[in-house]
Amino acid sequence: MSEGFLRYGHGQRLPSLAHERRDVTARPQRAVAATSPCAVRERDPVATAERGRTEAWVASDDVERRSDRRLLASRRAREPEQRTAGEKRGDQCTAGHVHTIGLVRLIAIGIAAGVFSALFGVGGGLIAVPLLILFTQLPERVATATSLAAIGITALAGVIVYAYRWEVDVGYAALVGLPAAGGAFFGTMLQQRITTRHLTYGFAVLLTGVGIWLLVA
Amino acid sequence: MTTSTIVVGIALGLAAGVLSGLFGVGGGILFVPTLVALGLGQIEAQATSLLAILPTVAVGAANQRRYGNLRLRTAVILGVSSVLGVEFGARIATSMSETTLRRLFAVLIFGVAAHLVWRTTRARYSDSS
Repeated sequence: MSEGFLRYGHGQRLPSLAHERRDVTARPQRAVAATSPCAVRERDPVATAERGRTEAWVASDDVERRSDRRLLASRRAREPEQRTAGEKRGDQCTAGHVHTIGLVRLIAIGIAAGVFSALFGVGGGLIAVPLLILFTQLPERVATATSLAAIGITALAGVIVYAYRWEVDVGYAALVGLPAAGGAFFGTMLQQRITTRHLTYGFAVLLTGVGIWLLVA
Repeated sequence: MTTSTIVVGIALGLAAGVLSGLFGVGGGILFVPTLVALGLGQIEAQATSLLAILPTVAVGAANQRRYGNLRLRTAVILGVSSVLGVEFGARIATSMSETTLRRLFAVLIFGVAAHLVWRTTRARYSDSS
């Protein structure tokens, strides 16, 4: 499997992140003895976090450029005033950085989500989203969306597994699931228009109530 | 299924959908109690909930794909590897008594409620800073 098996970004930059990137590069950098321009980012916690969110680009000439970078970086480490100019070239560094996510991590997250999903009859996004953010540095929005699609496969597998045990009631699933799909569409639309902060506390109370009811039922 | 069950089911399903869209929680966490309220056993409710979340998930994923947030390849790897876990999870669930499972589910709901409060509070702090 090539190292670019899991490569994010497809050469595109999320528009909303472009300005965050500028903020970070505008930050005064500490002097570091870097072996590559990317190492500068590696040592700056803010930049490292940012890099994770900015995802990565594909540069086929990555290897060829590496020697140039080393030269550039050593010069930058010596001359502080050139570092800001060098940081402008930081774009090039990020662009060349190949961000590869361990396949093993993804599979482990998938298995954990699967256990959780079948055990509780939920999607598994509850566990997959935090794990994805924590271990693959995907942006929250992307992690949520990606886990949503994964849940489709997980839930389908769960349905098949439980159908073999004669536990799935198709009539009830349609009765609740189909109105819910319409409701979710409406709810998501509503979420864009109103502030849900105070409502969320109310919803948490409602959930707690449901939990207590399940405990005593 | 009586008429009243159907009416209550549609109403609760609609409400669960709106709430899950509004607060960004998964449908399953709301479907399971809904199905239990409609008279299903815990394990049956959980299995049925998995089928019930499929339409919502399909609509949601299609939307997210349009917004460009979806990493399809990652999703497929996650989803396919989750199949291994699903079999394991189903075995644990069916080996437990329904009461134990229901109590565990209640604990899960408390966890979700706590997470919602934490997330909202954190968002408020980061807004004000």
